[in-house]
Amino acid sequence: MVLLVTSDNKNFVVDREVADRSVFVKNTLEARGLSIATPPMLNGGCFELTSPFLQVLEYCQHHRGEPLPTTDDANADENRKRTTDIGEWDRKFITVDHEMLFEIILAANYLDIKPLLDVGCKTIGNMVKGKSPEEVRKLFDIVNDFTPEEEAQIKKENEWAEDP
Amino acid sequence: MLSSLPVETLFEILQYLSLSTIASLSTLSKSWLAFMTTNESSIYRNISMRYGCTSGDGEDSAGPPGGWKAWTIRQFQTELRWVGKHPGNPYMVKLSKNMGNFYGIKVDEEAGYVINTFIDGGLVVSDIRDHRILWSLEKDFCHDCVQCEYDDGYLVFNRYDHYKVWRRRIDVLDIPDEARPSRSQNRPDDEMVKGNRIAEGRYLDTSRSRDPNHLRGQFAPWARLVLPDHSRMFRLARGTLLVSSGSTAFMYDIEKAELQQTIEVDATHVGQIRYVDFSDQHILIVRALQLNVYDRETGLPVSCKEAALGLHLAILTLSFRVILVQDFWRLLPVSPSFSPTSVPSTPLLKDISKQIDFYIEPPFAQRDGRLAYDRGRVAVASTYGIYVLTLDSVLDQFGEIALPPKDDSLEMPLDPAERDPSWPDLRVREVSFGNIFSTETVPSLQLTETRLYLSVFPKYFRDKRGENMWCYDFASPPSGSGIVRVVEMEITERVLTPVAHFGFPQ
Repeated sequence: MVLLVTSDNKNFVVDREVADRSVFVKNTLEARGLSIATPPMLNGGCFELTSPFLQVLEYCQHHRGEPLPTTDDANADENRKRTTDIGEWDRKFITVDHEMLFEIILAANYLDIKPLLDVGCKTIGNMVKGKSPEEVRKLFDIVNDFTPEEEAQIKKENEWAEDP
Repeated sequence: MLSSLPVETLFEILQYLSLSTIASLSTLSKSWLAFMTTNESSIYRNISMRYGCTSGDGEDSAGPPGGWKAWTIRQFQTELRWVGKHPGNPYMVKLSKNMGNFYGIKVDEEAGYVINTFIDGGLVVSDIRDHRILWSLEKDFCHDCVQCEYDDGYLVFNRYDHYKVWRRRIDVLDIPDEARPSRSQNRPDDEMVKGNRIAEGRYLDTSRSRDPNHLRGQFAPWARLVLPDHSRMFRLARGTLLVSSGSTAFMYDIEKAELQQTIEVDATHVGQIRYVDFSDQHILIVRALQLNVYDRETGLPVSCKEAALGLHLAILTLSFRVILVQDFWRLLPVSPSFSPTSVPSTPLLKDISKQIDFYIEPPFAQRDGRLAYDRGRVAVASTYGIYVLTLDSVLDQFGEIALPPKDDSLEMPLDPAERDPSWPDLRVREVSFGNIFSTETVPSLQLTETRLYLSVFPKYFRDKRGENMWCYDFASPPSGSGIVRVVEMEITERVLTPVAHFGFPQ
């Protein structure tokens, strides 16, 4: 067991197997010479995380025991990128409001949980896919700060990419 | 929100977006335009990787001339033309000097020249763009209606059973005599030497004899191979020349000009040999009514599944049926030979899901056609029309670059039955040369990275010599006048049917 402390001083005791889903936590523990044989209550460090941490923990609990992706396996990496399909459980898991989605992505990025980061990025990709610029602006509250002349100009430069 | 994400995470997200969507992000707001402009090179380099562009450019490299964005746009537009969404540029090839009617065609797009043989004899190498003649051989040294093969700087054509091997002049400059084929039976014959002397006199400026620009397209005699039997068909690829007689297949090392291997092919099989080809492991002999595969190691007909990856087969039968077989070498049937012209509804191979099979013309038609298969595209020329099939298009149904192209060579499940049906992203288009094309015989059809070339037998052009070769350039918009027709096709119920017509006025 390891103890993980978030930046707002909440303590979480989790199985080492669950904590190891995060490459960051895994490397930190290993670097300090802490292994699975160490005493159960253990301060693993302090992380800049608040609300998304519970979500991230839930993800790690669910996927515990699955093989961790290896960074040097280029083929696996390619394979993963090949499809925008998301597994059933992951899809339900990631069905959250935008704010939480971005928090989860940031947390996954910080804690280095590649599969979770992929799920988040794919989700955003699926949201944006096939949408017009106006729809994308609405989706993410982006303000169009171009003058009409600037917008006309930038649209003209993009004509090549429009649907044939 | 979106902008609160780190740049590398935004890059991750872009991996899942199409080219059109990515390009449109720069129209969202000033900060997005800034992001897209700052990271333009990386973003478009990543997209170009989806095209399988692995030109060895490192992360820091400036990339192709004009930058990654310009390169991506060019590739995207070329692909739109290949699959029939946009018009390309069809034109008749007219050499700087009229040399008569074209016959064989070979193209080296990278070096920028086209090699032609002629119905009345002769051989010409011309610039791919301005059609200026760079080098030629007189009729006496390359005879009438000769097919030639070209690969990696080697040029081969035959006179009966004598195969003349020429090599790019620039490649042989520093090869000493002792490293050239020099035995009496394989060194260039007097005819080649004489032809070379005349060509040198005409095209070689001795003061520029080491200038690559000056030597581009020029060839020098390399070797002559004398086949011990009457030859039928030949094929040059990967440094090897395969020539087959009715009973024996001969494999030559083209650089050493030496016979490497002979394989007995069953002379009792019916039909004239129409095509030969080979992989590292197999030899394919196509007869009029039959197709045979031999193992290069054992010399025996192949009789079981083999394990060569990523080699597909495209067949045009005498009845104008086109059969595309995915992973052909892996799916060979138990019987050592089989007939693609048997009952039309019979699958060629035991696993029909790995095969695309359709008719270009009514099955009773019996005319001459041509098929070319290169870089994932198949071109078919028939009296009904010329068609290009892109087997695995990177464009999705909206005409956008979708997911990364699937790589045939990797991660293939060992059991073919586990694979997806053949080519879910197959695209078909008609290639139109206006109203000038109507013929029965196509001596040569060639596909390059961005072009399609064909010559036709000049039945209707007898009074206009040298006007029987066309090129369709998929990398350029139309340049001529009039309306360019673009027809997108699909295969429904085993026939080609048009799905969309476009007319593009000039």
